[in-house]
Amino acid sequence: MTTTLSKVMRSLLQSNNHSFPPAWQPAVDIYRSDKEWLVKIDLAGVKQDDIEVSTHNNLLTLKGQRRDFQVQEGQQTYSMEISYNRFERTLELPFDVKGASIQTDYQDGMLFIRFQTKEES
Amino acid sequence: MEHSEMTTLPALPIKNNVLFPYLGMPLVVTRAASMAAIEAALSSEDKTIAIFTQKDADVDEPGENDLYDIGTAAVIKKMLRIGHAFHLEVHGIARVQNQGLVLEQPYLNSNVHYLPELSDTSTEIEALHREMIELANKMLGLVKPQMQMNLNFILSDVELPVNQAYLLTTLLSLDVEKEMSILSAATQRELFELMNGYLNHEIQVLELRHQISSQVESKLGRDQREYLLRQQMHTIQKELGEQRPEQADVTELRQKLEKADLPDSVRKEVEKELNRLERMSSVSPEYQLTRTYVELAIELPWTQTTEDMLDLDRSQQILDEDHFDLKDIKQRIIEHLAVMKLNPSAKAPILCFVGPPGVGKTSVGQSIARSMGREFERMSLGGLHDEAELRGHRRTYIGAMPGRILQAIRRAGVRNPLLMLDEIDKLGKDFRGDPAAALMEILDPAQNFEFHDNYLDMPFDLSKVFFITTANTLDNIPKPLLDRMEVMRLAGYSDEEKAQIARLYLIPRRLEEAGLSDEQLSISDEALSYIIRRFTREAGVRELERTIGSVARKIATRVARGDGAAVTISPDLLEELLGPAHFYAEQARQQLDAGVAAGLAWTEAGGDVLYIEAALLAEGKELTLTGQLGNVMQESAKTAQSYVWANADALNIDQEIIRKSGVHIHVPAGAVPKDGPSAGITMATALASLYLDRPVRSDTAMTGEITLSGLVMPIGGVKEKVLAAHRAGIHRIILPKENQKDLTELPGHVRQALEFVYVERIDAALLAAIVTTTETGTEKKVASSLR
Repeated sequence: MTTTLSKVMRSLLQSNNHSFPPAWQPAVDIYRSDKEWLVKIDLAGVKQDDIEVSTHNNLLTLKGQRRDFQVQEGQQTYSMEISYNRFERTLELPFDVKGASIQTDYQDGMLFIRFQTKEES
Repeated sequence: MEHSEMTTLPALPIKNNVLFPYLGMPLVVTRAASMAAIEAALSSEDKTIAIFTQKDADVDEPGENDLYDIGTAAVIKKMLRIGHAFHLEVHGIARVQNQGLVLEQPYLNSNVHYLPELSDTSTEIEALHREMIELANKMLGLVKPQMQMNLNFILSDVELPVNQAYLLTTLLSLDVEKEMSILSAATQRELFELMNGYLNHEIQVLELRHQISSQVESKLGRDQREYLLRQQMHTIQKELGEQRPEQADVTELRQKLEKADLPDSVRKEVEKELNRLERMSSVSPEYQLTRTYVELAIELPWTQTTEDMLDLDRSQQILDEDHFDLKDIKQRIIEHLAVMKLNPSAKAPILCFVGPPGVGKTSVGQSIARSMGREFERMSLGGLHDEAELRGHRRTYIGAMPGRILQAIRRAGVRNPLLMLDEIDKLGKDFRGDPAAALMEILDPAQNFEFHDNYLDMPFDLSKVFFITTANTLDNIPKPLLDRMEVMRLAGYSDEEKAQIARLYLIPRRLEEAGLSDEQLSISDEALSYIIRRFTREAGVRELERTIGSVARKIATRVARGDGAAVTISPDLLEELLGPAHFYAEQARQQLDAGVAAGLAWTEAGGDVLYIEAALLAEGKELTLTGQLGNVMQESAKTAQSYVWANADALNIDQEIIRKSGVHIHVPAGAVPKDGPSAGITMATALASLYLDRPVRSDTAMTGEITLSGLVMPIGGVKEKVLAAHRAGIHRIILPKENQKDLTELPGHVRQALEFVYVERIDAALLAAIVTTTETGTEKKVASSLR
């Protein structure tokens, strides 16, 4: 029956990772300290202007685009593993975002988002 | 993204495939132009490339007209250069319309126009969308029911209905044209309608397939099930380290085959059969058949031989140890051994031992085998009436077996045994064939080096087999068969010979069997002779041996009861032990009446004295013959009568008597059929004696064939006849002149005890036989008439 069920579909059906193209998903760390929740996002090579962060209830959505700025006319590529172009990631946060104070910081290719919730303060 | 504006992207033509937005695709690119296009795309900020499907997969350098207008803008996610090829992973972003290609050496740039996302909505479109999901579920249910849950889960992750449609195309195996029609769909309605059409078609095909396969399945079901179970069983057995029983068989046979010393042609054939056997199931009837066949072929002694013992003196010694006398046979064996010594490739002779029962034909065969150092096998052909018994059945028959000859060879384990075929004169014959005809091949040295057994179906060399056949009489052996054999006669033994045999062989053997020593039991010469004469009447020594055994057992009983006294058997004691004598000594009649003459007969049991009686009847011309006479004997009686009548005057017979009276000839022991011409002379004598009314001499017996003109012809079986006469106490024997030479066969003491009269004509015999009265006149008369 493999004729009917093409290989692509099968790999899609069987994988647990439903990150469909075209957008790539940046890697995310989430920490909790006494004072705050810290969300760390690996966005190396993405310009700060190209990042868009929004929240809705306790969903955090990251969108944007990584543009390759280190390109030269006539260069030859031997291997490419870094994902470029659009990215999109929606996270369900383990705490209530409502009423939390949000602070973002971009440093050395990492985006830090800090949430100070009422309960924690 | 600014999808409506025009952009320039490197163009990548692909074959046999369509990339949809939202979906990923691995690609391997080898065309130089395409590789250049990819390099260009990778040199851009956003790694975007426009992918167009080729209309014709065979075009190598496609131009604008070779590509579909609608394509997909895609991001290159990953790229790796392996050798002279690029391995890519591209993910579709959006549909683009090609507005024109620009050649940008060495690749193509395309001016593309991003097509807007399909966004028409209506209740109907909503319905079509739901229908599509429904159909996809149904289809997946037919293909992989366990995936249905997954599908819904995945689709719920895909927000846009359009993208869901694109994703579902991967479920279908559509050709490029149909995929392009989906990619080109300008509205959601068109897209869903197309998708529903394709899904429906697929579902129909699948349903039909299910139907067909379930039909076939139910038909094959049982066989298939059995096959699968058997296969599983084998696998389990293999896991457990157990072999299939038939596999074990084949392995064992293979080992045997490797050890066996076979000619190449045979080995090839056996291997072929073994391979066949390996593939068979042990329950198939042919399995056993093939197995037995292979076993036979391996076990047959194709090359094994025993070394002949060529020490003539030693062989002679062995032969002498085992058998008394039989000089001819012993000499023939020694001769053969001598020949073998000088010419090892000499053909084995085919001997035929003819003689009465019990003279040791079979045991001399064993002794010969021992003296030559050959394996001995014997088989009886008595009553055998089916040619297939000798030559085997073809393997196609259930229960087919190799013929008896090959079985005997297999038992012997060598290809040069001494094979004794007993009772060759008692072969039967019926509609199934004539075994004698099959024997001709077996016993012909010119043919038997490639004897063909129907079962074996390969030629087997019998030329090294030493065949000995035995028979009681040659009369029943077909002449062509007889012609192939060297006939050796074993005549019966005389009383003296029997006594010697008993002393040398029978008594020691029987004493040993009874557990007696020769001190405990001895048999006097007188008693032995009494046993021979009064308790047995035979040409051989079987009954003699049994009687001695009986005596030995009776003495053994006494000894076992505690009477340990040494016993010497005397004739009186014999009567006490064995009861009254079985036979009264076959004594010659003391007085013969006129018309009675003693003849000598040959029987299969040896010789016999036979009185032929003739009587005159008051009237009737016809000759009456009684006593179960065969045709030849009846004719010889008529010849005798005619001779006497024709020569009545010369014999001084009164013609009146002949004219007036009839005559009756009777040969006693009326229940025993008799035949043969050798009583002619006796009948003539009896008739002459009758007509002359003068008795025949009572100490005289005679044998010989006569002719109408009065000649006496030679006859056979002289030795037996003479011995019988001697036993009966006859002193004078009238024989045809030409049989004089046969007397050399007789033991010397017998020859000396008898007086022989050799005759060439009947009148000489009559003169010798008929008593001449003391009246000289009559004597003269007879004498002169007979001379």
